[in-house]
Amino acid sequence: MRFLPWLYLAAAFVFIYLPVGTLVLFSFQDGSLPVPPFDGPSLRWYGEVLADDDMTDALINSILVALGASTVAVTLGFLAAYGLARHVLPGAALLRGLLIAPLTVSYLIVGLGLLIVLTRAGLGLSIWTVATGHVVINLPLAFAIIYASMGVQQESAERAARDLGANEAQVVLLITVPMLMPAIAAAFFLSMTFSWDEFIIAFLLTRFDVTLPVEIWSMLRSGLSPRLNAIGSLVFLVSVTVVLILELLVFRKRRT
Amino acid sequence: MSLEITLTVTAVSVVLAYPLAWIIAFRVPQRWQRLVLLLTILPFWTSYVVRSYAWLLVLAREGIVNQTLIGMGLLSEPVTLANTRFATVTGFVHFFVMLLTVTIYANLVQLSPSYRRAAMDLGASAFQTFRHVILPLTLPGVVTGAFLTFVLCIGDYVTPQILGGNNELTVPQLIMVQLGRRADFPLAAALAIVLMAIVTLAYLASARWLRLDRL
Repeated sequence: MRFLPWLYLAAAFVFIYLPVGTLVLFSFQDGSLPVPPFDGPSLRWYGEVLADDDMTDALINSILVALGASTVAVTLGFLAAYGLARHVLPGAALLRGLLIAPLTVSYLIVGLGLLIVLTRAGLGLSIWTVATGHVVINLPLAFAIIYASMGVQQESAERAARDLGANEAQVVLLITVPMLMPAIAAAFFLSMTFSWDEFIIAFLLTRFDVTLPVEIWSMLRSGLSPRLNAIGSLVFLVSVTVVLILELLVFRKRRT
Repeated sequence: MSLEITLTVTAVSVVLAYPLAWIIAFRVPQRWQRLVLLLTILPFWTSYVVRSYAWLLVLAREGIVNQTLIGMGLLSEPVTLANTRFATVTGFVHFFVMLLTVTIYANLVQLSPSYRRAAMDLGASAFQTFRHVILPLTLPGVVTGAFLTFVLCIGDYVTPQILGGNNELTVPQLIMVQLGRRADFPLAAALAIVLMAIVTLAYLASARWLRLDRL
């Protein structure tokens, strides 16, 4: 009975790591099918993926969209949080609710809504429309994270700065932003991973300059292939790196 | 169809995640907990397209599950696991077990240990303590996690599309069919409204226990 919990934990870990483990292992497959038996290891498919122009274009698009959308979402989220935390506004509770509510709307519906609006407005689909979509999904999250960490400590520091003659811009840039840096960084890195992994909005709102998940999606139609394993492993590696940076930089600091 | 899959996924995920969160919170030594938790949710950050593809790999006819079962002599020929509802549910459960483990864990560690001790001192068995003390106290966390699971699961297109095959369609798949093949925006929008109505109903049903601000 005593070892039962550990057995469960081990079984859970097998279940959780089965797909990722298989993905990574067979990305080193030497043959042309990513199923057992495993022969290799070989870096052949990594080489092929990195030499593929479509793939590297998609990679660059993904990075641009993730960086751009996260920067805009975090900036807007910060401004909204600052405004709502520091000023008494009519209907503030309603505004907060409206800002957070989109979190419960499925990405598919957000994408569909934007697609209809863009088509009606006669705007063409491009990397810009994808980035706009990602701002829409990341803004509520960024706002929620930053708003939750606005407290009394910053407020008194801000008041002190104002008493010492700082103007509003100086207060925000020199006091509030540095004090809220952990929350802002957390919001930024989380937005990055969501944008980097996001598929459905990127799929709906782009034609030619696709992002990486969309490129992977179109490769999927031709069935199982070690190329997919290789690119999937690379995508996973990037996400994990961002998450680990987040863990080390932000949460470690908060604990101490 | 969507609703059936979503409810199955939510129920199975909660039942699997609760013991896992429990073990991490109460059996794993304190200083390892954060590491174990981090490891538990690491695959959570795989892109959902990649994650679904990875399950396709695992469940394929020549895949690792079939080959292992045949190797152990449990099966004589491969069974079809991929492109079924089973595959869709497995892919979903995998994702949401990770999500729920974190939510439930966060609730369990917030509980003061004195509740457990008090219940035990008053003569409750381990199961009674769980049933009458721990479970009610963690219910808000469980319901919040389950609601999140429900919302994300019912709105997902990728997992059923990659893993489920085309035998049965979920609502998001129907929406995409309207958009892609027929460019029928009004019908797609109507279906989207149906989805949002279902989510609103789920919200109202669980609102009593929901603590969205505590996420």
